Amino acid sequence: MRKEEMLKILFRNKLSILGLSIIIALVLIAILAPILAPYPEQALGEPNLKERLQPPSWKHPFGTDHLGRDVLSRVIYGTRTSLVIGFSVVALALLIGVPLGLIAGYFGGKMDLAVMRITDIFLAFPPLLLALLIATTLGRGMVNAILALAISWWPWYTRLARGMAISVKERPYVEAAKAMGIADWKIMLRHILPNSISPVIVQATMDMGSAILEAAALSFLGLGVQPPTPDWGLMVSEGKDYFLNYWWYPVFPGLAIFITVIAFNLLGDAVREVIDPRLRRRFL
Amino acid sequence: MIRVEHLKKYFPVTQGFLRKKVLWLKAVDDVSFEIQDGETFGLVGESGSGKSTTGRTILRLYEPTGGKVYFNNIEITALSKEELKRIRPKMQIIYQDPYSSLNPRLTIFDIIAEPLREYGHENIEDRVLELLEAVGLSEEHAKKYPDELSGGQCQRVAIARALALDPEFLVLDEPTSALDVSVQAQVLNLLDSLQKEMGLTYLFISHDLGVVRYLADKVGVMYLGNLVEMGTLDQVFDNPMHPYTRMLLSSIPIPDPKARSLKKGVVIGEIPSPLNPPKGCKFHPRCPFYKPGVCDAKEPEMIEVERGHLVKCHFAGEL
Amino acid sequence: MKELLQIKDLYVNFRTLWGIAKVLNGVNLTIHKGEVFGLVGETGCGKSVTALSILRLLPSNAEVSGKILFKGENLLEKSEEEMRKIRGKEISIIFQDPMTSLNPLFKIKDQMIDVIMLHEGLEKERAIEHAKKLLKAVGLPADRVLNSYPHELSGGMRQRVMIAMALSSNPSLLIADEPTTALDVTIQKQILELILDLKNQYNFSVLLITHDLGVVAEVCDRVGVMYAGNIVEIAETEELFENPLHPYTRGLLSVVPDPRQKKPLKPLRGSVPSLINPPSGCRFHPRCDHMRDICKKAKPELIEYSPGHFVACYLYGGDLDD
Ligand SMILES: Nc1ncnc2c1ncn2[C@@H]1O[C@H](COP(=O)(O)OP(=O)(O)OP(=O)(O)O)[C@@H](O)[C@H]1O
Ligand SMILES: Nc1ncnc2c1ncn2[C@@H]1O[C@H](COP(=O)(O)OP(=O)(O)O)[C@@H](O)[C@H]1O
Ligand code: SF4
Ligand code: SF4
Ligand SMILES: [Mg+2]
Ligand SMILES: [Mg+2]
Repeated sequence: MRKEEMLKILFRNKLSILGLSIIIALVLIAILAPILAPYPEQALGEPNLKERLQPPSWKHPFGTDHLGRDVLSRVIYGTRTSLVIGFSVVALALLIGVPLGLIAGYFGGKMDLAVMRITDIFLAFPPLLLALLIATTLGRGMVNAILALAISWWPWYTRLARGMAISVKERPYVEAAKAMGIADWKIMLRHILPNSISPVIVQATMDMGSAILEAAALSFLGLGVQPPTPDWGLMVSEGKDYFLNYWWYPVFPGLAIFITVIAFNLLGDAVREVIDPRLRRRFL
Repeated sequence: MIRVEHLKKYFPVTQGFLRKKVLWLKAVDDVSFEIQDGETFGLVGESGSGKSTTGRTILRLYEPTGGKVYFNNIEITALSKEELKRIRPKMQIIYQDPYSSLNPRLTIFDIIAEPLREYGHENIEDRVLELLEAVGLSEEHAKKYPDELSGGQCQRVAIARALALDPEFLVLDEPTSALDVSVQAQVLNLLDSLQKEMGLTYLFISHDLGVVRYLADKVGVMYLGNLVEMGTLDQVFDNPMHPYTRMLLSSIPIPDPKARSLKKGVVIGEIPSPLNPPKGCKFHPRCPFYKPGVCDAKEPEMIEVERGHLVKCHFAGEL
Repeated sequence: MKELLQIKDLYVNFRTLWGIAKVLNGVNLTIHKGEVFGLVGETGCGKSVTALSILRLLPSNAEVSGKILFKGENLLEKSEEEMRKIRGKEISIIFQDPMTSLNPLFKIKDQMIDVIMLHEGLEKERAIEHAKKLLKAVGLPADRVLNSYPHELSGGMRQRVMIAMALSSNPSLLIADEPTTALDVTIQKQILELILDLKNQYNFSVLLITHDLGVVAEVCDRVGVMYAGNIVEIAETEELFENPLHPYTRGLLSVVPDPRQKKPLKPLRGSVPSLINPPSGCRFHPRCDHMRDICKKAKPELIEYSPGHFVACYLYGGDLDD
């Protein structure tokens, strides 16, 4: 597909521009955090007990937390944690889920049956509950939280990829490739994967938001990121006890989570429009 | 070149919530014919009569349930997977829907180059251009994607890809049914000249006898998994003997308003489900010559009415 | 004979990502009461857009100008409310793929009765009776079909259901957009015969869209040939086949397979051009063997070359001394 077409389609929709801008902004914030944050050392955890629980002011636009740290700086640094978590969870889940799904769908038979049974087991649990169980087993910490989330997540991609592979393998171009004697793995790579992946990518984009949300939930329950790492979920969790008198403490990190989740959803919609060949033919 | 002997392909049909195998759908049931070198065998019949299944089983894209297929005296149906791969380049297939037979994510160049790369050819670029030219396309098409081409152009690309490995035998599965009549004419002419130049052998599948006439040397008429009439082009068109063949012939529109076929109602009913075909002669519920007690009691044999002209009807030659 | 539908200077443009597609370029045609009018042309010539314009069903990126007079009234000036009454009641349409117009999740019964109740204002019992009568009229076993889902029917049966629904309110114009293109020739034959029978019985006019002049020869009274958004020739069917004037019409005629003999097919070269940058003047000129200078400069008008036989081509007059 020509790039200019993709861009045209992308920029046709105001909401997708909004989603994309927010994500770009978040990435920039994450990269430039040391420059943007007024108090980088506080963001990384250094207490500042003289200024505990100050309301928003020019000095601390988002106020300060129970250890006197600048909430704005910690929210800015939290962007890094969130994006890393969102991206790693989804990437890991894709890495496990998609190949399994494609293989199950393309080869069918016993292979398919086995893979489907395994995903069934995983999918029988409510998603967060499973992540919780795994995180409890693995122990606290960010890496373990990422692993736990990815392990509870990949079966969705397996399902999606398998369904796509099943429908794509029926297409005549796949049969034509078989008729030419093309090797199975090449058929999978060249024909099945590229034509199955679009809905998976769309889903994955949207899932980044959900992954960040679930990681926040784990942090909230004390199983995820550990203090003093700057993390939105952790901040909401610690701040909830102060909510009534010191609202700014949990509200700003909460808002950050909310906006990020929405932005990834908007971006997912945009990606869908850009990569779906059927929509490509649609007119203004 | 191609000899098909008692070919059978049954599909298991599952029903109910336990997905138990309950029935066999006999898509191809005891079909035999031969195609000589450089010849075109036209296979016609309505949708669901088993034409495509026959074509695919011959290429072993489906595993046959029974029967044998010989290609240059090699029994294809007995080959192992590796042996089959070695012979694959010699037999190719073209599909009905030009768009879905091309991978939308690959450029035309990559589509045609794929088989060449698989078999380690050299000078792939030159060969692709040569193939594009052979099917009436040019270099500028190479960079495009399938959805930037028209249906007729896509069909040419599919033909170029099929020709890449210098095949000897092509299965053409309704290669023009999805095209306009004007593009159909272009593609038919192309297939015709390619056959003459390269000495190809075709199995040409269609539901329209009128189209088959342009390419075929011999014609087989299929109904619910069986061949019901087979003969040379002239035998089938000038002296159609099976009532089904006659029905197919009289349903082709005649491009002459003065000859507007006054014969109405020549087409009776629709093809029934192959899951439970009618008893006796499978055509009997739609046959204007149906004799109760005969046609629904016993399946007719395929009889050779004249040299090379076979008909499967109790009253072959009498109607 | 009286005019039922007159299309005058119809222009349709589509705004697209790649520019403005000038899809209909001044279409003129008339459909008389009680006739079958065939509209032929290759894919992408604008046949379906013409049909959709009549029903005002074009997508929102379309810009329309011209006149479409139906029983003397300009459809392009009707309100959406008035159009809703005309669609399905006065003018019905059936498409190539009946599956796209039937909802796979509902039984035929529910879908037919909805339409009948909406258009006829009948209550449910009467609507079922009416539906049965219609299904019998199109040669279907009414009770079984009513209780089937669309996928349980064959392509031919689905098209019959669509015809039955289209007839439910006794329209005066039936538009059939390639109704048999997706069907076997045998089923095509049945459906065409059915449309003719019903037309004689119910006395409506038919606009039959097809790319196959063989189909036209079988059923149409008059034919309009369309190329890249223009009507290039109109004549009675016999006249058109005996005396085709326009080079495009001749091209189309030379590619129709004839079951009676094997004459060589002489296809036109090239294909329908992009309508975003259509060829200047006569849009057919890049494919025409008789092209002259003037053909590139100005669009030839549709003139009445002999009584009832119209053609738009400089070979038959027009501004030759330019
Ligand atoms: N993979 C399959 N599994 C089960 N049934 C099948 C399969 N492929 C084909 N069939 C059935 O076998 C019968 C013959 O099918 P086939 O595709 O060979 O018909 P055809 O003559 O080519 O018809 P068409 O004109 O629709 O292409 C049909 O009833 C079809 O539904
Ligand atoms: N909604 C649309 N937007 C832009 N172009 C369109 C739209 N609908 C149809 N077209 C274009 O209009 C032309 C005529 O289309 P159509 O009437 O469907 O052709 P036909 O029915 O003769 O095959 C084609 O080039 C087609 O791509
Ligand atoms: S055997 Fe009987 S029913 Fe069958 S085709 Fe012959 S006459 Fe018709
Ligand atoms: S006007 Fe000119 S280009 Fe157009 S059809 Fe006539 S001769 Fe050909
Ligand atoms: Mg088929
Ligand atoms: Mg159309």
